[in-house]
Amino acid sequence: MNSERYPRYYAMTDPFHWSTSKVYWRLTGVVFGGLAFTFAGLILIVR
Amino acid sequence: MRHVAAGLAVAWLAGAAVIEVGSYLPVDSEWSLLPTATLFGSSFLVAAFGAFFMAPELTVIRTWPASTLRWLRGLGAAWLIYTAIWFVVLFTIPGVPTHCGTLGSPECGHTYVFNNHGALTVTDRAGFIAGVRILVRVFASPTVAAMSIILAAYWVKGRLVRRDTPSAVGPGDRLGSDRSSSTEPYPLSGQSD
Repeated sequence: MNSERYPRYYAMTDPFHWSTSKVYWRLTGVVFGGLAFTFAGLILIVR
Repeated sequence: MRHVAAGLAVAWLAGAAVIEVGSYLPVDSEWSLLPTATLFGSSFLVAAFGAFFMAPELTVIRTWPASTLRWLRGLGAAWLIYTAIWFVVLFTIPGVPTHCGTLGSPECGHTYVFNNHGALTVTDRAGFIAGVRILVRVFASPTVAAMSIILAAYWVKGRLVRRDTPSAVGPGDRLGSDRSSSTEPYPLSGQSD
């Protein structure tokens, strides 16, 4: 794939190049999942 | 797990659709207040679940046709502006009185209650229902947007893998032209630029 051969070029020219990486989507899931669990925990604590 | 994530996304999308459509029906809409709060809160978890287990599918969005991506960006911008306008409009109408007798809410039976703008207000059934309709429309819409993206990625990925290489070449770069004859998914080497 072109972006795999020239990752730096695509990272520089495509502002959404990150969205072609599975790692970033998994990270999105972990961050938002963590936020959701944190808020759920806070609600349970203060109820 | 990606099928589970897609199933959850369908369920949450259906729930949001029921709330959105229900807010326009000439029936008492109080039922939708707490389900909307639950839906909005739980959508973060469901969308995160979907993003984690559907990461390979979501990376394919970048390879969608340039015109589709432009439309998607335009729709996203329009939706943000629409939501921002409604958010301001919400502050110009009377607040929705706090729901009584449920988790984190005061006891029922008061004449004056705090509304969701933080002010004391007289309990007013008609105003309450009108506010509920607007509130649930605003707060059910992010769920519709997020679940739609996840489900679209889930649906398109299967078709793209069968059709050609899901390569991250960026928008509008020869997709479907010189690669459409390739039958092998994910050819990582031996391909000319």
